[in-house]
Amino acid sequence: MSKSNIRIIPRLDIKSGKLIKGIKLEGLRVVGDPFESAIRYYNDGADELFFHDAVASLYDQNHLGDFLELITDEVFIPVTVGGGIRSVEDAVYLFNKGADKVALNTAFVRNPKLIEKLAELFGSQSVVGSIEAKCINDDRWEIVTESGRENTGIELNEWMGILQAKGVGEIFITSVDNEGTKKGFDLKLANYMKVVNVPVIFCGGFNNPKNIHELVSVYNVQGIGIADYLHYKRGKISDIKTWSKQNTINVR
Amino acid sequence: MKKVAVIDYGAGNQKNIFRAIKAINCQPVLASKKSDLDGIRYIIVPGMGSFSVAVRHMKKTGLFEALIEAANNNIKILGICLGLQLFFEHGDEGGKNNGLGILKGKILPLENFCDFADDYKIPVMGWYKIGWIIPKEETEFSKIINKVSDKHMYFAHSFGVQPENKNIELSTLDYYDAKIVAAIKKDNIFGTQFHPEKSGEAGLKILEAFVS
Amino acid sequence: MKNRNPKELYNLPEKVEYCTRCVISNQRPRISFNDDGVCSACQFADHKNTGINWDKRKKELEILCNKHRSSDGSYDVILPGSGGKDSNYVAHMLKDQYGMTPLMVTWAPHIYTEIGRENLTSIIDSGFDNILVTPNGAVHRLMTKAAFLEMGDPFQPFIFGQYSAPFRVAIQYKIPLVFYGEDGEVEYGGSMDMSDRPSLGYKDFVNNRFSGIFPEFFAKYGIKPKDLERYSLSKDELVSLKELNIEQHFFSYYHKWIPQENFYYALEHTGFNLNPERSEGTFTKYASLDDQLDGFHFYLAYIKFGHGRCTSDAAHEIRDGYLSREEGVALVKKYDGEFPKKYYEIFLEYAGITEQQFNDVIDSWRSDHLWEKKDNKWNLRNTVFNKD
Repeated sequence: MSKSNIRIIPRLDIKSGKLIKGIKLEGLRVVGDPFESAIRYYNDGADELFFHDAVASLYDQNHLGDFLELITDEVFIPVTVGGGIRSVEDAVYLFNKGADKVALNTAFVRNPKLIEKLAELFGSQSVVGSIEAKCINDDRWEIVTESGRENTGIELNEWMGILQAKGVGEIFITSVDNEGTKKGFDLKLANYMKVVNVPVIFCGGFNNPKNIHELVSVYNVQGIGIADYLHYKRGKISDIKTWSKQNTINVR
Repeated sequence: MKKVAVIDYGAGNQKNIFRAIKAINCQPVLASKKSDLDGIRYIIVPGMGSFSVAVRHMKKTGLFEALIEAANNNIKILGICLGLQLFFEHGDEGGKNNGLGILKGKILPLENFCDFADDYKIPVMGWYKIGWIIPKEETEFSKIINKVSDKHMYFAHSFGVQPENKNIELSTLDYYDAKIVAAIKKDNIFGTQFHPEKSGEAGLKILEAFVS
Repeated sequence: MKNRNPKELYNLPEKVEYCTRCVISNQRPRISFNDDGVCSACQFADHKNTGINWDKRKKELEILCNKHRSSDGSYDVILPGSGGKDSNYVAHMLKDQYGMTPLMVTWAPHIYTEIGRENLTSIIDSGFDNILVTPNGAVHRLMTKAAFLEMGDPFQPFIFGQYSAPFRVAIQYKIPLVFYGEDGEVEYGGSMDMSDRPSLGYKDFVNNRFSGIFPEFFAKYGIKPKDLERYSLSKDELVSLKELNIEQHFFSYYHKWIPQENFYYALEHTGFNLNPERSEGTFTKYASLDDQLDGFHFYLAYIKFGHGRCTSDAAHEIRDGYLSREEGVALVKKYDGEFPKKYYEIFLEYAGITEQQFNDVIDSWRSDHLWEKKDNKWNLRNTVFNKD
């Protein structure tokens, strides 16, 4: 059996053309230029790029079209875009601008039928269920929407089951409690990923290549999302890959 | 500059394949109707969307027949992912629409390929190295393929093809206990299950091989 | 209930105007706009960025700390604090960067939220001594009710204590330095004339913050004088204040004050944690988290002046460069004036008032120049999002 390679996926949150980063989805500091950063990550070996429109849920619209058009002229790796995508039309628009996959959170929660519709029209492999998970107590996680602003009361496991049943091709899950904190991946949360059979990208808290080792010992993840570590230039993708290969973790 | 036509079957995102074609110094043109294929020597059937939508759209615009004709006239055609699947007779995605029938074989959901272990993951998503069967006869095509035979390619699919004639299989992916066809070549018909336009520099080489 | 006429009481302009840069309106008491329509708080924000020599201010703080720093590890500065991001930032900075030994003094919120309690514990656990001053519960509830009914702000009793308890402790411990975080009037009102002073005399300080209402005002509610005394400094205490040369300083004078940066700092250094859910009436999760009654203070400001918690949060984030005005407007449209329903029942019970009384009070503060009733619903005549 061929072991999957773990995809290293920079996550770029963008607002008004600027690359931003918060902590636990709160507070949003400008940390750089998204275009320059994306190119740099591509050249340094990123396996995919994940772009998130950080204010889209405020305007109920995704504004990354123009940016997508420019960046996909420069990179030849898959690009996922999310934030404020509400309808089939929104998805078509972004695909035409160069997106390979669309990631939805709030819209799917409001209207799970949209998952089936998108999967039917574009194929599961183009549809990503984006989850922001928050720990309620020791064993319970719930999902939040609108860039972390609204609690839903929906249990994580239940929601992952729905996403899979309705046909998402992939789940991109961010731990709200760990993201931006540099305290490593939320391993308890990672354990929950075993309930689904779709590929999972795990994000939130990365601060050291060792975190990947810790993560795979709990769950055989298909990819990791990294933001803070890269945007604050604490390290490089090539370093992560070098370390991984030296420590028997499959990466491209 | 070589012209490469990209079939428009209503699923959007020709942008990326266009960009990739330009990157290998060729000129991409969008083929939305039969006449757009006049004088074209290279055709790409891209990999986006769903089987039935693609078939319906192509039949409406006359591209369906045009592609079959092109295949019979020795025009070079590359099918990517869904495009590869469209070459075959039957589709299973979203209904019983028949494919182009240029190749004989089946398209099946990946779950049918073997008894996956409990922790299987479908769709196949990500970068994989694949085993290539390079033909003994050296051609421009095989020379270029050789250069990237050890490179990872990007896969994103829930269905796989099972050609009747195993001799056309050019490359396979070992996925859990299944052997999934990663590329086929039969004379002028070339197909990849992976996305060369999304596989970095190595993927661009695959496209170069196609137009060589 | 008779209308309280906030327009006259607060001297509010008849025509509502919005700052061209942030989202605040001219209805905020004591704010002013220049000829370009830019509010004084935004002008002050510019001044903060270009007109102040922060290195020089830092040096002034060093000199001040050198003067007060204890040589034997005894307390040398009183820190009014709640466990919130701002006071955590100040506490940690004074200790870590300036070598001081703070004694944190917390004036208890009316009713602690879970996150508020957690955050107080965290700051203490991270290495700070703390005195929690909790007023007589029965008295406090009566004063809260009185404040709500009389002045349309249940928060007044909290404000009394926040600006007197720390001084009381300073007098008791004979510590002549009390460090508050931000000078709100300067930061949010843009009172430029106060901006180049690190401190205020106590009288000016409380006059400013008590809004002209003193604890004695509530005597008519049957609260004993001795109980009322706890809420402000007595004559004797004022004498001691002078004799001990107790000074009150603002940290925002010495270091450029950016609430969002305080959040990052507090999270990283003091174990500060966010509200697990969005605070009602705004988009943020990091500000003003510890009191269940908080929302009502902001809600009443919304009724009186037409701008609520979201407007305030958005305004300072715009000034600090975290939000564009466009975003601020969209946020105000989405969240401003959201009713604080989470603790509504609790508030009614705490203050001992009925829903009818609550609504009567709310409505009595609606000024005709801001509010109109249509189809039995109250609407603001002007908002920053329909003015554009």
